[in-house]
Amino acid sequence: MQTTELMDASSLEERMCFNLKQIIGIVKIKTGKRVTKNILVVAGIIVLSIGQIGCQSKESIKIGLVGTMTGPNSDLSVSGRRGAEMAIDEINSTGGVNGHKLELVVKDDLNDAAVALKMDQEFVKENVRLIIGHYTSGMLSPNMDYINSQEVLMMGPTISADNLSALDDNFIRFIASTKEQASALIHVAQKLNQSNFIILYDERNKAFTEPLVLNFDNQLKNKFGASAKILSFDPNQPVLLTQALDAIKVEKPQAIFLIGSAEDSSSIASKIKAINSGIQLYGPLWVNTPELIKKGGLAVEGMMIVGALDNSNQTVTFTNFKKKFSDRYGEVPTFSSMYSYETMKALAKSIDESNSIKPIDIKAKMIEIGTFEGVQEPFTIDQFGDNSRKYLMFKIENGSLVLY
Amino acid sequence: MSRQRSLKWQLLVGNTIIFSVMLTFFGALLFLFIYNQSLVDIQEHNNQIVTMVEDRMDSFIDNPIRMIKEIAPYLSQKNGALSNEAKSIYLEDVVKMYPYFEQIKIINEKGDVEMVAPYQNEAINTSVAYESFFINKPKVNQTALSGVYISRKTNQPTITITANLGTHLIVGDLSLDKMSVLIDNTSYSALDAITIVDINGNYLVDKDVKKISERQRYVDFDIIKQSIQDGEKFTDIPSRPKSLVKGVKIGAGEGWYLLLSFSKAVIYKSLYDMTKVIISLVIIVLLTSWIFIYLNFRKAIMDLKALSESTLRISEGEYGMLKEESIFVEFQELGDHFAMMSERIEERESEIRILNEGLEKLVIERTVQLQETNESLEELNAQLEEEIAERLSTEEKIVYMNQVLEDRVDERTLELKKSNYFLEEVNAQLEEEIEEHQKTLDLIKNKDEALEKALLVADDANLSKSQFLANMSHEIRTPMNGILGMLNIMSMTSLNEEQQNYLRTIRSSSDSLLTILNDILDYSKIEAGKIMIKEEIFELNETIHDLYNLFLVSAKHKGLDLQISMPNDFPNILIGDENRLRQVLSNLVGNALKFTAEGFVKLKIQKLHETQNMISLRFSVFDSGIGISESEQALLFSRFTQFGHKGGKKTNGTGLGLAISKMLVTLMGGQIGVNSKLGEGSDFYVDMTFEIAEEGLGLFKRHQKYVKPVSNDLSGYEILVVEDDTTSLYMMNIILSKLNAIVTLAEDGSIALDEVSKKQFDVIFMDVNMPIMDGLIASRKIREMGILSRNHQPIPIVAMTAYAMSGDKEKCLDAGMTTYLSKPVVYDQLIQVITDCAYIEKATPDRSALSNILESTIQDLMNASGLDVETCRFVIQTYVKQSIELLGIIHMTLSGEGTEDVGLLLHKLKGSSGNVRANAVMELAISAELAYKAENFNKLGQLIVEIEALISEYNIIYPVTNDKHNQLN
Repeated sequence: MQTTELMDASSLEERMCFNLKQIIGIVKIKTGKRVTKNILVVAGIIVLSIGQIGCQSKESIKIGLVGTMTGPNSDLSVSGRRGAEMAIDEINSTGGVNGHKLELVVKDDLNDAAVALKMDQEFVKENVRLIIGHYTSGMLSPNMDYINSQEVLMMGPTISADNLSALDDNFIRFIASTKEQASALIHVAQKLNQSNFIILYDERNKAFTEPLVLNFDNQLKNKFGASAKILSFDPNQPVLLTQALDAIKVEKPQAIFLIGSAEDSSSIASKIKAINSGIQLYGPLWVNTPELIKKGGLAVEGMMIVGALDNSNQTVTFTNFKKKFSDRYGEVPTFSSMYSYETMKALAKSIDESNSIKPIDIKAKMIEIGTFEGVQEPFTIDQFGDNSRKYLMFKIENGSLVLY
Repeated sequence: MSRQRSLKWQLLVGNTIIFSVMLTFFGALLFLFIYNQSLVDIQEHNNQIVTMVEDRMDSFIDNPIRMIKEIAPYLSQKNGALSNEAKSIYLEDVVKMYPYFEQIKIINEKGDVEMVAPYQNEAINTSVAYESFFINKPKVNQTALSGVYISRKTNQPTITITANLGTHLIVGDLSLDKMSVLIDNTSYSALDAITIVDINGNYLVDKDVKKISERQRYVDFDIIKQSIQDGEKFTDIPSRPKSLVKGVKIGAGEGWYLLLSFSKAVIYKSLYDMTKVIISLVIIVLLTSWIFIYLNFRKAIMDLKALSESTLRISEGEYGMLKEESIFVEFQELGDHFAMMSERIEERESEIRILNEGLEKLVIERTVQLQETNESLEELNAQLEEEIAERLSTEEKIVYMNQVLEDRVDERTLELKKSNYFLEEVNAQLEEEIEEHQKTLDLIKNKDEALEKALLVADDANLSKSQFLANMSHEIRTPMNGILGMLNIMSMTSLNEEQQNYLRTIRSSSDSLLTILNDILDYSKIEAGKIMIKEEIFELNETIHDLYNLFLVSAKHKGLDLQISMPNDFPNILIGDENRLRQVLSNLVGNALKFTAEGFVKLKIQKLHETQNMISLRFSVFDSGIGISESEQALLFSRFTQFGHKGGKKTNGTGLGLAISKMLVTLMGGQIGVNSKLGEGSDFYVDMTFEIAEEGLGLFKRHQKYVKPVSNDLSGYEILVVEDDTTSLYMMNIILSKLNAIVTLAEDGSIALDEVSKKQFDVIFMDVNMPIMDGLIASRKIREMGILSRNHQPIPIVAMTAYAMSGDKEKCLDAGMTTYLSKPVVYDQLIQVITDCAYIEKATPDRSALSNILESTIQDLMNASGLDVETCRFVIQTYVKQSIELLGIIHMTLSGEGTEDVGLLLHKLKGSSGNVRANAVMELAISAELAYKAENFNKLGQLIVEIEALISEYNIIYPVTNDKHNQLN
């Protein structure tokens, strides 16, 4: 309700600005005598400046952004936040949306589902109801009941968890589901004729990891008739990893599908390579950050990972985006940066076209618009607010990602 | 006029404004001074802080790097005295001294870790070749900084400093959370915050550690960066409205930025205080100055008021005013002047009052007058206004009309422009066409000129041809003249019957030849335009009748029926060229007779059209002859065309007859044509229009035609013949001598002149063309000499010329010649000319009446028929023969041996005699017919004897021969 009032107030302001300008115009036309004229002109200027102050002080629209901003697993969110920041600056530098500046309100979920819920509640309290985030499924899935109970709209640039698909909920996804990730990976496995897999996944991000594990395992069964051995790890329980490494020694798989953050994946990769350097590693999109190579080094060389951003893309929009991002942050953009950027742009467009900041209106408008101009290519949002973009496959060669 | 102001207020306000402006100005100067002072103050603090931070950075960050740089070669010696652990312990000492370093590594150029502090055995010899700091390592002897990342060991924001020593890299991980010591400062109250950011604006050091751990970017960093580049002392950024930010670049290489945030409230506090002081000062000064000024001007204004009141009294009539005393000299003088003015006004006023009374009366009168005038003017004015209103409305209408017209003119102009453009195009095309046409015309002109030349040449050629033909005829006629003359002479000699037969044959052939020549000459004359059509009165009846009689004999001779069909219901006496008409019709009838073997020839006259004065007639000649094919019809009227058929009877003649006829008819304004079918006979017709003559003229003309009788006895005549042609000369001599004339011969003009000077003559025959002296010159000379004939008249000179062309006669007459004979000279003409020209008293006139009758008969016949003399002679011969037969039958009938009706026979004789102009016989025949009808047989017998005697006379002169005569054309 409060948001509606805000919009009404701002339109009233617009009307006032218009009326003041009109009045000054009329005053200028009608003044005939010299003294009266001078007085009226001075009065007009005063009124005008007051009016302009009024116009300039249009309330900004607050957009929430929530993710894991600190700690070792903050790369995805920080990189995404930077994309969103860049989009906001661009939008504001061209006059904002309907005359309103956008203001980014950032919250840190500390990669803890409980904190994540608290942050979402804070947003609602602060009347920030358009929220980009979270950046991992584990931070969102447990809180979906709360999200759906509130008048908010969550927009996930990087959340691909399947259990959020095909639901008319308060969540719009700007990335395809884990099912598509599994398909991309299996496609490569087929090419390399590798069917003897061990799947090693991070227990802490089950919302994302478990559907991915199941999807991958199912597709592996469908294509090869083979079933993978499924193991997990948790840095808080080092014994799990030790057990897994022992299993690898025994099982001698052709390949390992390693599902974890870049930080965890790079260190586990080193350990796996120490056991058997010939094992082919596979990784999901989650792991696809500069940290992986930076920290994984030779251990991740030759790893097949899912990608959503083609760094060699030569389109003008991407080239400009990449250069601007690098100049600004001293780092290259990640898919998270690009998707967050695109999410923010799509949100601004929807606010502009619906002339509303009510979550329900924005969601309807996004679905109505359907197809948005992406940085590298257009993307679509279906009636459930889902997205089915194509994933890319990359191979790490000589310390850089090469499109496979 | 400007608004009136109070002097008192003017002085007060003016002074106040001047004071305030000056005070404000000095206040502003003061403000600026203090403002600059406070900035300088901040700047000094700023410099101190920068120096402080740089010092700290140097001691905390750069120092350890320098230390490691120095010991690195020593530490990296593999076979040195120090064990790895010893080296590590040394490095750990460094780390402990400088607590911001979380870890320091020494890495060789391959990217392998050689040393790490704190010591980690498993880290030794691992590769960092793919880590970004190695990939982006600095150049030798330079240092590079990484971006902020979260250390996996400390979970804290960290940056990596990499120093390249050439052989080794020294890599130190700086824990940013511990570095806040760099910015500890409490010395300056205006300083809000100190922040260090990297080259991109990412937080490195800040009191708010969250900003670092969240890897935030300094908001509006781009504005600060731009501001530093622009050289601004401070940056005012929208995100920090209460602060002024000073950005300073620190450190080596790309370096970092030190951002100092100052509180505006603290900085400007002294300025606000200063402003308050200045404003209160201005207000105090204004108030005090106001009071002083008021006091100062109070006395002067009071005196001024007193003066003012005095003048008011004067104006109200109180002239005896007291002098005002004032301490101010200016006011004192003014008071004195007012007193003087008061006295004078009093005097003037009394004068004016007297004048005024007189004036008032006048004014009243004038007012009445003016009122009256005014009323009439008002009326006029009202009228004028009405008129003006009408004019205005009319003007509006005119303006409107004008606008409409202008619009139309514009439209028309546009249309005209369009059409003009079109016309210009058409014009251009036309000009091209005209040019081409002109060329064609020139060509045609050239062709025309060529044609005219060709035509002239052709005309010349044609004329030459006619001339040639005429000349040829002349050349032939001259010898023919001789032949015919000699034949005539020979026929007068005594010849036996055989010789006479030969002679007749020769004469017949010669006659034919002459006719041919005449035809040719005629044709040439017509073609050369030398035939003149005469306008004479004639009787058509007579002409047709003559024609009938003329051809009756020939028709009978061939056994053909010659018929005439002519109605009586149209005028008989007409005006036209009878001779030419006769010639044409004779030709047609003659041709019809010639080409008709059996059956009839019919001449039919029809009236085509008649008006009061004019009549159009058609003369048709029908025959039952061989007919003419259509192809031949086309050529029929051309020259030299004879019609006939292969295997048919060959005809002779020049072939000019129909051509001449056509020409003559055309000359007379008529038409000639033919309708014919092969084997079905022909119908030649002539359509002509004649003028109708008045009654009574015909007879007169007819009588004129009679020629007086001539004698053929020239005894007693002295005649000179001048002729260069020997034959002609000889012939003339013989003919004239036979007629008993005395002939003198001369061979040219000069000889003739000799002769006439020696002897007197009665007549001279002069040839025109002669050598030495021609006939024309000779004739002139003779006339000059005044030669007379024997009876004392100018001697007649008769020209003889074969130049039958028109104009020759005129030349002769001009030369003084009397008359003119065309060669060949015809015997009868010769005698006639002599008889006409030369009159002599004859001692013994021996005239033969008989001969007279015969000659006149031939002459009459020639005149009536237009036929030549030979044809006439033939006609008379035929007549004589027919008459002898007729008389024989009459004799037989009278003697009871025949059954014929004598009356009818006599009637017939009468008709044929009339036809051939044997008038004496005709008269006798009429008498005889009457005697027979009266049954006076005695008288009938006597008359028949007389007729027989006359016929026998004819027979002597024109003996009847058995020759066929086929001369008709």
